[in-house]
Amino acid sequence: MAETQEIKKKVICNIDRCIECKTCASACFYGHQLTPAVGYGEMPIVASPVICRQCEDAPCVAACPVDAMARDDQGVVHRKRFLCIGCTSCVYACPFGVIDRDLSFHTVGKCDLCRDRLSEGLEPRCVTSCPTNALSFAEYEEVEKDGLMVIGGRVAGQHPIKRR
Amino acid sequence: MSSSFMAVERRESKCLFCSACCDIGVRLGPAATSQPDYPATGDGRVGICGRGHYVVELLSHPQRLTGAYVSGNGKKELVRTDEGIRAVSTRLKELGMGSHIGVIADGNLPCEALAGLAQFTKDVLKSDNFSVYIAPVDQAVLEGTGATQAASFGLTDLASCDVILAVGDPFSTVPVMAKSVEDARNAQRGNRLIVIDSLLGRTAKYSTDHLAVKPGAEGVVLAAIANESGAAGELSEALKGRTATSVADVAGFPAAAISSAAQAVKGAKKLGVIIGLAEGATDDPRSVALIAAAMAEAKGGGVVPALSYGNAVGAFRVAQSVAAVPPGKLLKEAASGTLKGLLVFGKDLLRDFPADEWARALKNLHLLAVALPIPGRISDIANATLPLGMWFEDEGTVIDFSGARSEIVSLMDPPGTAATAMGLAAAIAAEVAPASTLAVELTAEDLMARKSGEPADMLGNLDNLAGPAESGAYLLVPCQSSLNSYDGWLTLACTWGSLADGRPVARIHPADLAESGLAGVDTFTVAAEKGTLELIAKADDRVPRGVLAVPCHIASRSGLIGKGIDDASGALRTGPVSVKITEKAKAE
Repeated sequence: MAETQEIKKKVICNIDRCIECKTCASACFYGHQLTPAVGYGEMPIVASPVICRQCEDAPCVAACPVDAMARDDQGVVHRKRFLCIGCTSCVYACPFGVIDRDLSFHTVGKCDLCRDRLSEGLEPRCVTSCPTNALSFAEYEEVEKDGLMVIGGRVAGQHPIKRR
Repeated sequence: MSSSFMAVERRESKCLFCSACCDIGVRLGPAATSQPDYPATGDGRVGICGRGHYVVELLSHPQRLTGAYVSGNGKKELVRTDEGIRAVSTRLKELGMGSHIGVIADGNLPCEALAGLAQFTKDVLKSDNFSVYIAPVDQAVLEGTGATQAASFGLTDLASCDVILAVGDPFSTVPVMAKSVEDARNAQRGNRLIVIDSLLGRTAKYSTDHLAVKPGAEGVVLAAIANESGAAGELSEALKGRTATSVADVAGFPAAAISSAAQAVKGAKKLGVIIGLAEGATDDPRSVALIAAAMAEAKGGGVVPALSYGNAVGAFRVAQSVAAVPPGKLLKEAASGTLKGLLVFGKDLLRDFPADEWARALKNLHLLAVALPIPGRISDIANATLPLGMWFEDEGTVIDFSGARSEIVSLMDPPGTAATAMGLAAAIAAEVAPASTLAVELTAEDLMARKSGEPADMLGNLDNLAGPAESGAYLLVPCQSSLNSYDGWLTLACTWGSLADGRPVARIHPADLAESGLAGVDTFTVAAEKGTLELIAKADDRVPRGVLAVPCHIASRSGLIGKGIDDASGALRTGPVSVKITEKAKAE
C-alpha cells in the first residue's frame, strides 16, 4: 500500500491577532475528552498557541515503539488512544515540543486536527472557536500569497515575537 | 449496542458568561460525553470563547444540587426539593408576610424570571423589598452610560470606527470583541486604538496609544480628553478647565500623550467607546462611564459597555421597570434587624463584596433561604438551600451590551428535582398563598432603556483619587477578570497568562520590590484595613510604581476591595485600597 501523503493544510497562528485568551486550548480540551493537544508558549512579551505542524516525515511516528502514532487516510498524524502506552518517546522525538504528557491518563496528548470534523468538511475546533480569527487552517502557500512570512509554522510580521 | 446509546443531540442557545450573549451550541451525548459545538454564524465566528466552553462541564457538574439542604438542630440534611420548599414556606408563614421579608435575584436570570420574582415579592410576600444583584462595577457603568443618550454600538459598528477609546481591559471581559476592534485598528493607516488602563492588559497590548495612568485617574484623564477634544457634550460646564497639562500630575502621565489622544478623538469620523473596567479597579466607575458615554454622544459615536454579566443590561432595565431597591438597602435592614427573612435566587452573597458586612448582616436573619445550582459559602449559614437550574436550563429574554434582545432556550432539563427560579417561586407561592398566580407578561415598554439621571448631577469628585495611605504602603489594584476553562476547571485568570491562573499571585514593580527590601521574598503578607492575605510575590515591570496588582478574583473574594455601601444609592462600592506588604513569617 502506498504511503499516505502529509496533509497540506496546517493550523497557522497569526500572532498579530492572538490575544492570548486560550479559547483554542479550551476547545481542544473539551473536544478531545479532556486530553488537550494545544499547548501554550509563554514568552516575555507574548503567550501564543503551539500546535502540531503535522510534519512531512514525522519523527513521532518513527519513534513510537507500539505503532500508536500513525498517519491516516487524510494525511493526519494522530495517536491511537488504546495503543498508546505513555512511554513518551514521541514527546522527546518531536522537534517542536508540541506533544505533551498527559499525567491523568498516563498517555500523551497529540493534535489530530479534529479528524472527526475534517471528515465532515469542517475546520479544527481551535480554528473555528478562535474569537479573533488569529488561527487559520490553510496551506503555507496561501498564507505566503498574502505577504506574510511563515516562521516556524507561525505567521508573524517583521519581528517574530514583537507585534507590528 | 443500541443505536440510541450513542445518540447525540445538537442544541443551540445563548451564552450568558458575558454581556456579548454569543450563540452557543452543545452536542448532548451520554453521561459526560457532551461536547461544545459551534453555531454557523457565517464569517463572524464569534462563537464560544474560553469561558463559554465551560458550559459543557456544567452540564454534568459533579457538585450540582439535585435536592434541597435544610438546616435544623445544628445539622444540615439533604431532603427532597418539595420538603425544602415546605420548610421555607412554614418559616415564612411563621414570620408573616410584609416588608420584613426581602428577595434578592441574580442579575443573570432571564428578564421574565426577574420580573416574575418581582411580582412574587409584591403579590405573594406582600413586600416591596425586591432587589436585583448586578456586579457593582456593571451597575455603575450602566448607570453612567444610561444617563446619556449615547447610541449603543454592537460588534459590527465597532469594526467600522476609525478611533476607538477603551477604558480598562475589555478584551479580557469580552474576548469576542477583539476581532472587531482589531479589524477597526487595521482597516486603515492612522486608525487609533486608545487604551486608558493603569496596567498593561490584553487590550493595551494592541493599542496605538496606551495611557498607563495612575490607578483611579481614568476619570480625570477622560475629562481632560473630553474637554480638549470639544467632546464633553452635556458635561462641558462640569469639566471646564481640565486640560492635559492640568491633570498630568494627578494622572502620573505626560500631558503630551494625553493631548495626542484628545486630538485623535477630536478628528474622529466615527468614535467608538468601550468601557471594560475590572471590579475595584477604580473608585468611581460611574463617572468614568458617564464621561466616556458623553463623549460618544457628542461625537455622534457609540458606547459599548463590556460587562461581566450576560444579562446585565436586561436586569438593569427590569430593575428600573419594577423599581427594585438596591441590595445595599436590604443589607442595611438585615444588619439593623428590620429585615427578618431573605430569599436569594442564584447568588452566593458571601462570595461577593463586601463579604464581612454581608456575613454579619445575614446572621441576624430569622430565615435565610437560598436557591443555588451549586452549594456555596452562603449555604453554610442558610436555613435552606434549594436546587436551582442554571441559565442554560431556563428560557426567556436576555439583552446584550448593544441593547439587542434575544431568546435563550433550555439546552436540557435541570438535574434531579432542581427547578428554575420561577419554578421554585411558584412552588413557594402555592404553599403560602395558594390562590395567587404568577403569570408574567413582559411588554416591550418594560425592556426599554430609561434615563438613569441627569449627567451633571451624577459626576463624582474626579480628583479624589485613592492612594497609598502612608509611606511604605502600596495601592492594591485588581487585574481584569478573564474566566477561562482551558485546564478543565473554570479559573478566574489574571490578564497575564497562565502564570497567575487560580493562584494567589501579587505583582509589583521590581524597583518597588528592591526599595522595600523584599527582593527574593517568595510570599508576601498583604495587610489591608479589611484583613490580610498571603500572596506569591512576583516582580513585574509592567506594573506601575506604587501598585500591587492582584488577580481580580483574589481581590474581590477576599473582600479586601469592598468599601461598604454608598449611602445615597444603596449600591455596593469597591475600589483600590491601600495595603502594606511584609515577608510572610516562616513557620517555626
